[in-house]
Amino acid sequence: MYRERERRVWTGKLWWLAGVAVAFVFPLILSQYYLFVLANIIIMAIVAQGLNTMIGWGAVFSFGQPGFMAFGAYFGAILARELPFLPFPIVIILTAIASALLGLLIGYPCLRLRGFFLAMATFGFSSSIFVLINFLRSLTGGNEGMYAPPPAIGGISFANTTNIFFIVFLIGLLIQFGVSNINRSRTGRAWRAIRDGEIPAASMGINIAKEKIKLFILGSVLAGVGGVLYSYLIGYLQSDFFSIMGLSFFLILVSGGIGTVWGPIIGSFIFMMIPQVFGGMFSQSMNLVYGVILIGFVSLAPGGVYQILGKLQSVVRRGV
Amino acid sequence: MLKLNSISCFYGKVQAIRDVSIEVPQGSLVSIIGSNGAGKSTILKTISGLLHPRSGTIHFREKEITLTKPEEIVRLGIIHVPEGRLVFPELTVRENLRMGAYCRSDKNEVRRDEERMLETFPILNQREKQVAATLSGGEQQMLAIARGLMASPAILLLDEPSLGLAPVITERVYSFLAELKNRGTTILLVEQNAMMALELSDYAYVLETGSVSIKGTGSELLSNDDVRNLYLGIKVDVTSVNDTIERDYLGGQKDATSK
Repeated sequence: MYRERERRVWTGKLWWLAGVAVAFVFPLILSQYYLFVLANIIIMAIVAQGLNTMIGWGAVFSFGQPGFMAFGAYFGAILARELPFLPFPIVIILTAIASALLGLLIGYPCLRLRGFFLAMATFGFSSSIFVLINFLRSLTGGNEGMYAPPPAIGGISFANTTNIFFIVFLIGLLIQFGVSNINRSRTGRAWRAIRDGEIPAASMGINIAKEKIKLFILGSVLAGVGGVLYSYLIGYLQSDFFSIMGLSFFLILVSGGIGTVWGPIIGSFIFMMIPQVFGGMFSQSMNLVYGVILIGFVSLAPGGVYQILGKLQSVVRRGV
Repeated sequence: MLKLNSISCFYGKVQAIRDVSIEVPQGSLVSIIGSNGAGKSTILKTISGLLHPRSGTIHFREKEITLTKPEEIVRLGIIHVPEGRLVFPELTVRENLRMGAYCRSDKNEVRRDEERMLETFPILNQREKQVAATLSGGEQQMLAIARGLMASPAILLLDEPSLGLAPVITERVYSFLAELKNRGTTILLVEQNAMMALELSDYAYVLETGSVSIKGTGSELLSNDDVRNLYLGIKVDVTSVNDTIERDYLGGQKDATSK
């Protein structure tokens, strides 16, 4: 039995390595435009994964993701602009640390609240970040926005889409690997236990306040890292980019499947492909399409695509 | 080992328990019986730190724990299995067991206990990979108790382990409790199902609207007329029951009911 478990761990790791190899296949088969779209899908999935860990595991309803994403994007871009000698992996790591600190600062008071009130408090945080960005004109360019430097190491920049796609893909894969490992760890179990019931979780000896803050920090870090990657991909920053994202992450989670490790990726794919598919017909009323899809999922399959796949599987099995 | 000294507890302005003193010696099974709303669960919640008493003290192994936080109380080995089988519905059976050992750091021991628990409850072993929501009520109760035991408790606080279970399943739960008791686990049991609890108890307290009305060894209470009348449903002497009801609940106004 032990040997079987070891083998499973091994094959599991091999799959992740195969994922790295897949990164090199995409540029061969996709045009630059679709590489850009795919990179964008992965970035949205990273930020949505942050929300997924908060809502899906800890029942922490945060509307703060767009704010943290904007913070990460601006922090990374300003850092790279002021200190151009910093290699981009360092910029990403510093942004992650700054996002974690901000997450702690915001999470500590906010997590005394629950449900609707927590949602309002984090929504307020997000809104004030956008106001702050527009207000700090000298630093962020205010309403006109600012130019975001491309990822660079020692003066060599990786400005083209293919390079940025690689960076985004590898970081996305790393995050996915990390999240699926945390999910199965002691901490991940504790988070899911909190989601399932705070009273029994407390009676297991879990310090609920502390675990929720950890969860909030993880969500903030993922949003911040997503933000930096977004600044690399777009090359230009404006607070509007983030303020209109408002409910996007909820749509991504609901369509993909809340609380599942791969749900955010599936959901992000659906979310980003909708304009590609319906763009011609409904270019003026894209929000209507999103709205219809959101209502459809919530009322017919609240577990998202994951739930639909599960149902299909059982239907097929019964058929055979 | 565990000593409650004249505890009083309030929900807002409502007094839930009044001046309750209870003692649980090492290795014994002590039970608290009483009807709905008598404050039985409140006592357990107060011990495990989910509620704090307004007055009185709680001592565990000579150390005062009256105002200690719940997670620290768990670390001391006081494990509360709450009422209504609060298992984690979306976690698998094995994950639920592991949650029980959340505060333990001896990894190998935990693994061994996990296997032992699955051996003790073969039904859980069969469903090891299923999420707990798919278990039946009795299985969930078994899981909740097994999860409590995974913490290697110094004392186990059990809240209504028979609640909502079929009589056959209740018997199985109780035969396991008897086994636990024989192994030397200290247990504080709260029950409405007085008969089964008293048969197993070394000592028992009857709780009535927040205060202890009768106490004694399990067999003493089993033969006590008041307990037999009010909690075991055995009619010893009908007139004495009527007198008791009249005295306690109607304030002597017999005419009010006869009209």
